[in-house]
Amino acid sequence: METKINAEQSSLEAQELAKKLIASKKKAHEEAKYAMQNPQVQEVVQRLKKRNAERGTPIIRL
Amino acid sequence: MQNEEHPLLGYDFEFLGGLDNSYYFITKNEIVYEVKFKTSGYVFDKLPAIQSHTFEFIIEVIENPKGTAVPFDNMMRNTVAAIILDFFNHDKTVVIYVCDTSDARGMARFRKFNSWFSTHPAAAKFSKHDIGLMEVNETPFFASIITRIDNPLGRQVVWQFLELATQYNQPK
Repeated sequence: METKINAEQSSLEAQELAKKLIASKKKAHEEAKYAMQNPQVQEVVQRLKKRNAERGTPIIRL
Repeated sequence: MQNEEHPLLGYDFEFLGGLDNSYYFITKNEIVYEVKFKTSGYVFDKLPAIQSHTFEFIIEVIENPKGTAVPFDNMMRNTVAAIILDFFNHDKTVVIYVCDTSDARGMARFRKFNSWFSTHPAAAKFSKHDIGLMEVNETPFFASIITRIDNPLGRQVVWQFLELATQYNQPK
């Protein structure tokens, strides 16, 4: 009986955790739509574009 | 990571940081990507030593000026791998990748991520385990956990992650 209750509890916890992971993923997807409105992100993107233009390519040795 | 005989090529990227440890890069098709590592300590609430080192890996297109479908790009693998390597600066770091299945292309994205990972020269430094979780509406979603092979808590982390799938996929 106790084993069954523990198993059900673990299953519920796993479901909650999985739901959190999915919700986090969906939230991040939504946030990405507005990322370019962030001035700090705009600055980074401008810096990258400038470097890429000066180099003539966005590709570098990693 | 660098190999003098066959240097790895990829896109220039920049770390912005912030709450979500954000990185950015721009492709030859002018598509701007954001890569984030969101704090996800709640995944390992039974492993306090690893909580502050657990992050969810997110990759999103944040600007696509041409508005066309995102084409195959052979520079993506090395770029994403370089960013992940840059972020894995602590031996306890744990990264979780959840594959979104909301647009029915989740499996393709998951395969692509697996391909990037398995074919990269640095793959041997990491341990990766995958799980499939079946949602109530029968749409599966996929998740991977990546740890450094020298992570002192690696086995416990992986065990708990695999246990999540076992518990979640029990008949409801």
